[in-house]
Amino acid sequence: MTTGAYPAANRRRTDYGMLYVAPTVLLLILLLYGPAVSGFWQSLFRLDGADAGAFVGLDVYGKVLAEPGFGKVVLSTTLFVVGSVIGTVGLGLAIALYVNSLEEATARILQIGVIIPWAISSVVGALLFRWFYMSDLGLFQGMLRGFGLPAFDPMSTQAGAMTALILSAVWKKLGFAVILLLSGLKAIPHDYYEAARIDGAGAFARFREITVPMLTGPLLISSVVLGIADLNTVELPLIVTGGGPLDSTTTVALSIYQKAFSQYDLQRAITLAIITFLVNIVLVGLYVRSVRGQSE
Amino acid sequence: MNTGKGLCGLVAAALLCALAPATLQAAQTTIRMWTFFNPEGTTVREKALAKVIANFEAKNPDIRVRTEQQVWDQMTQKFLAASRAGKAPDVIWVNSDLLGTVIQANALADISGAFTPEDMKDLDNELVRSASDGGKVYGVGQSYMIFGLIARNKFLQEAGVDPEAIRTWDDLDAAAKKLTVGSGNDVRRWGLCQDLGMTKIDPGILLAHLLTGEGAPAFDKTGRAHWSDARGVAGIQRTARLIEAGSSPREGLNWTNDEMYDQFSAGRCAMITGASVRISGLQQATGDEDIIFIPYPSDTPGMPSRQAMSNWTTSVWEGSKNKDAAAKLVASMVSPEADEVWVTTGGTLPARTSTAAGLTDFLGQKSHRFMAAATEYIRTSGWVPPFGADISGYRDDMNRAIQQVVMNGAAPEKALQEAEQAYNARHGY
Amino acid sequence: MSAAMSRKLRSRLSLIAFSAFILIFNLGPILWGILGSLRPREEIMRFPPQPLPSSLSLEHYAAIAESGFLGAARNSLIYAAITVVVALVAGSIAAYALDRLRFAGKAVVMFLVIAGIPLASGAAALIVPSYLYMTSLGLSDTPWVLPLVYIAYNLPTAVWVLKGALGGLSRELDEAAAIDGAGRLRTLFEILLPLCKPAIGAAALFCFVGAWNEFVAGSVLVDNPDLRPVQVSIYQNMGYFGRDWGPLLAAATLAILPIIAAFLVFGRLLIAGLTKGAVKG
Repeated sequence: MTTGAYPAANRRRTDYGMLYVAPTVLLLILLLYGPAVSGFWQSLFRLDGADAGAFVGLDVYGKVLAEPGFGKVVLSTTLFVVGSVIGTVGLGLAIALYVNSLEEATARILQIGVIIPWAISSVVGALLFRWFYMSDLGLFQGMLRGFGLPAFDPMSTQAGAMTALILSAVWKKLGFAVILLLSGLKAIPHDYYEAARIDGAGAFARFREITVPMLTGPLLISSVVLGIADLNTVELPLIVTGGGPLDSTTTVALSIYQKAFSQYDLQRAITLAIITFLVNIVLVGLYVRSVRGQSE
Repeated sequence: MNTGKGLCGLVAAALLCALAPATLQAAQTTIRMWTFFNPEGTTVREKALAKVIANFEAKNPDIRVRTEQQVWDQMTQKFLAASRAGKAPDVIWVNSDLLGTVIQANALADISGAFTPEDMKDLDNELVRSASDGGKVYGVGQSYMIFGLIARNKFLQEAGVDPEAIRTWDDLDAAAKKLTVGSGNDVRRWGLCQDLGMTKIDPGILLAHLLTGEGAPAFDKTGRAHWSDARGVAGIQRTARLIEAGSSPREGLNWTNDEMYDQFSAGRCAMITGASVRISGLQQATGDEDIIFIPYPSDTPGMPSRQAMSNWTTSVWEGSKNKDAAAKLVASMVSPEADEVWVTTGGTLPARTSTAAGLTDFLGQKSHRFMAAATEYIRTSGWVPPFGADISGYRDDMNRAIQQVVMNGAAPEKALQEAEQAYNARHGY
Repeated sequence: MSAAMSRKLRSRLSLIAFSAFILIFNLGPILWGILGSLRPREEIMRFPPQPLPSSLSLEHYAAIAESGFLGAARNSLIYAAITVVVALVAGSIAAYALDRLRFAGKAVVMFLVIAGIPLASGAAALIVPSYLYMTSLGLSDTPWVLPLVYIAYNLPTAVWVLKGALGGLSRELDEAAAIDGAGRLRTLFEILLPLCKPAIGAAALFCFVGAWNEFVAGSVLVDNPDLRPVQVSIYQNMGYFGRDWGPLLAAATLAILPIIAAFLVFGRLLIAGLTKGAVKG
């Protein structure tokens, strides 16, 4: 829409556009899409064994999808991704609304505090999360015991382990959601609230009538970006729960890792990675739509 | 003009500088080696490796060794990929559990030429044999280890448990019970901790049962699994009973081996089902040198259970352009001198019979007693997968069966059947 | 009067409660890890956990300083700096074209950029094929491979953030510059980008954090110890022989410092930079 506002200048020298995006496109195709396409190509051939190099086509795809545990992996992944997104965005929204009401200097300090877990490496973050919260050698459980509360062991039940895994994702990515939502909140002009106040709208009405509709874009974008990140994270399930007990927290990303580095079945690992990549593409479609929706 | 000339001079100088070291090195061969050790590292094993390499380079001035440290759990898979791409290093460390997988990929060279018959006799053991086929030798190893029971002797003494007296499985149950401090929700120390999670785990009581006594082997010659028999059922029941009795933690159902070692370091476990190779690290982490190694008991009188042993086999890549120099390096890493460095500086188990014999005093010291015990256990009861068999991932499947029984009350036989089928199906049997 | 007082008291109390929540929930594990890095080795894993160490010790820091951590940290600083510069320059030109120009294939380029964001986060799954691919290009184990890969991973985000900010700038600015005879690139670099400082800061922050924290590509694509990035150096304390918690925590603690520094410098710009149209005025 907006590009149409300046048609004369834009129609002049249209060849510039491709030239300007060329470095970016080249880098992305060569280094980001290239490996994915090459991975797909490699997955069509037998990687090892006596008949290495033979064309197998989509054979392995069928085998991977028909594996007995695959349904459970899909279910665990869905639970994990949906639970983490709802938890992260929900808690992130609450924090963003609160921080938005604070004065600038205080808000800035709290923002940095909130975002640090997101900004540290996933491996270290996952190790520290498990140790601090989930292990009886960590301070959190030590404090609970100090208050006379019973020790808890989330890891040895299936529901408990999934909860622990979701909490670890919420902990790790909360700051990212807060930042996105806070920028969304800041973009809402103050006059809207003033006008509503003059019209006699209460705090809740203002939230429902102004904040929620104006925040739809950021909420959608952060949900999709977080969902994609959760879908692809291997460090959290690998370190926080190890996929257990009884595969209850084996997400598809962990399953790829296990196939490659514990079962030494690279063929199936790559195949499953490509399948996951296709699911990513579907989510990206959603994402593109939400970005478009927001910019209108 | 002037700037142009200056620039030319600069380029020439830079070229000269770049060429100078190259001409100096022209007569030298550089051997690339992949290992998970950092030769600049500060752990005792890393210092031992640095020393062994330095000695090798001093003796072979025409050969340089470039150690390219890798992340250990990705190293083998990456080596296989690099081998396919023609870019693998000259020397590779392969965990013996994966040796079959790597040998099947035809990625390793025969290095028998670098050893004399006396060497081979001195080095001989199950693992060297499993890396050899028809006179060809695909690697020799170091960092030998075997799985067993690891215990804080202090806690055993406090509870009046004699490690020598843990001979039968019932003895182990009784000792674990005696060693447990507290009960129910308030256990301060468990008698025996087990890592029964789903990734990064050590084999334990179940495998000990499956390898011991009458019956078909747990894995046949091709690597196919046979687990759902009376021995397997007994093993699972033993594991489960320890948890039900409260002397082994339920949390263990989701512990990696690292979690178990951390709990042991914290004094939360009197005994664990662990790997002998971890003991020197545990001595440091607890500040207690009196950590002992106990073989798995068995119900065969006078014999411990058999248990898996492994090592890191050092091999030469089939596509290496410097096979002779590389084989020389591999041989020198298990030379009598190097083996002594590995044992005395690095705290690893001796690879040569002669080293063990020459270091009896050293191995008799309190903080090294575990090495003597583990070496003996390897000799009498070490188990190695059949030559060339791919048994990757079996530990995860076994623990899944244990979890089915403990958490869902499944019948042990059925759980083992399912695990065995899953494993066999994955390996294409 | 008293109603105002009690409201003030309430807001003060809620601020304290909220800060305590952040401190415990968000930062607890990290502070616990930092504290652990200062404990003597045999006190790191203890039951029951000891809130305070009996003595502070720098032994683990000394150990990692000897074993190549600092070289790896320097490598990663260089990688991250290159990533930031290249991603910002290439990214802002691309963002300008995507926001202001019409050209054939624009929709495809836009999709490549946006789909690149999740693809970068899922790139780890394809690491072995990537290794083979990079090897066939002759890039594996060269000094350029990691900077190039990190640029590719972070470029989509940079373009996305910068395009959002440029979209918020009035086109009258371009028009005025064109009347003054400024070319497109000069308009971009001299007029538009200086008005997008917050977005540049935000994009720089994302790129820096992304490049600094990357682990999987760093562990597979380079072999030469002189090229090793910082996260791989940290991970090497979780070796085959177990986690060496002391050096592991010390290295992880040091690796947080540049992140905190980056947030102190650019954090101020982060929210404003992401707030689309905030600079519209």
